[in-house]
Amino acid sequence: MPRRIRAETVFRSLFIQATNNFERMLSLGFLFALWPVIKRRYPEPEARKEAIIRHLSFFNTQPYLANCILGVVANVELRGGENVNADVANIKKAMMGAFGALGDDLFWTGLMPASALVALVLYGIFPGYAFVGAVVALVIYNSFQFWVRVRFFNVGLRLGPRITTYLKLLRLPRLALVVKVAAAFLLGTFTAVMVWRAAETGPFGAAGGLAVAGAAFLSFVLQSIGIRPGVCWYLVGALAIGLVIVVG
Amino acid sequence: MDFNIVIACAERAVCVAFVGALLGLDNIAIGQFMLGQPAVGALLVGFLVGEPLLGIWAAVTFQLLWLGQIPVGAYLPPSASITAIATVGLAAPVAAPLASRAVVAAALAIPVGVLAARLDIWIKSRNVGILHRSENDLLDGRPLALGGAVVKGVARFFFKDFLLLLIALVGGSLLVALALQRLTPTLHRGLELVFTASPAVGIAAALKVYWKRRNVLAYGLGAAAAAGLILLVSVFT
Repeated sequence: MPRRIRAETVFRSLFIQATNNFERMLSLGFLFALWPVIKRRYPEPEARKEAIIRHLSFFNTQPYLANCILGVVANVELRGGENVNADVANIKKAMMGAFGALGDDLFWTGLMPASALVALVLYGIFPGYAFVGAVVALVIYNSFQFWVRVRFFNVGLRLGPRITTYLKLLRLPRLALVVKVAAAFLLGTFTAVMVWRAAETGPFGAAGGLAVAGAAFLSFVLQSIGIRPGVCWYLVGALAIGLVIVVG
Repeated sequence: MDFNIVIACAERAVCVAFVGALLGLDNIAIGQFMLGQPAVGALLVGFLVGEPLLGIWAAVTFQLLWLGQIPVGAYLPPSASITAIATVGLAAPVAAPLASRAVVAAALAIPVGVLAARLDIWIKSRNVGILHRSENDLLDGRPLALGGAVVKGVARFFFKDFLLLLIALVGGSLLVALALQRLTPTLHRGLELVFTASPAVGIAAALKVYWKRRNVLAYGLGAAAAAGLILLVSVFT
């Protein structure tokens, strides 16, 4: 497939969630991303119509890993054959659920918080150079997610359904675990930085550091008994105000 | 109130709402480049309104507060990005100590974030109409409908955040200013303590997400390493 069409497909995949809806989730976005391939592969109206129907069925997965499915499906479409309808449906069905769960683990609770925590730690240490923290976080996060988007699409396009062998070699679930451990480490670092910041530069001195540690413990207990984080913020706030009124 | 000040506040509200809506697009509609996350988005808006410290506080508080709240299927957590941006936008024009106006603004901004998430759900249900119309157009041989559907989808998400932020900022800033006028010095002191302790609520929320033996060990290691390093630096300086 020409480089221009591959690039166009990857670019269009950035909009895969733009028409996200509760009936068929990302199906329209998926078709939008795949359109350069469909247009080239099926110039005749009837075959194109069939392809459109094929790709407007229910589809939902993690948006970055969707590119892998895009690549594999493009490979199947380009190879053609009698069973294209069934092949495409089976591939999407088999991959979207697994990629959805893996993507949530790897990106939404793994790399995204870890990158954000890098920024937050840097904000805590160097508040005067906060933009550096933001740039570092953006570079860490986007270099990996862009690599996933481009690489997985190209490999999917080249290997087709055989991509599972390649994915096994990457050991992505293990990578997700490692990223989560890194995020937890950064969270610990951030806690220490916040306690130090409150004690060193806050208006309450060492008591401020204690307040941060105490509020963290109390919030953890409250959230463990099912109180939502937002509500917990109001409760801890009310308690802090009450404490100041009582103590004076 | 001076008419020029009202105009300046309105201009600032439009500006913050516009940038906030652009950053909000990153969360669902376009890309997911992390620009819409509070850690980056709130800081950018903080710089925009000339209050980077306010941006940092909103980033630190709201990035962690809903860290584990991932969008799974039809469930959408409160929009941390809109909450953080609204906090900065609400607190920036008010003349009061940073801690007091930030906390009062955050208290008003959390319901705005909840509403933003509810509106996301509403848009997703309305997008079914876009899907059906595009499907018919495509099957009738009008391929341009596909691009049009994406533009419509993006526009819906943009205007949802823009209008929500604009209404919240115009009405909310006045509320923040009025609330702060009536506070006693003791309450201001209380708000200072809330300002200091706020990131801790987020830390607890995040720790709960990572509550597994190896992660807790890593958390402890991270805290100990940072504490040791801070101690070492403070001894030598």
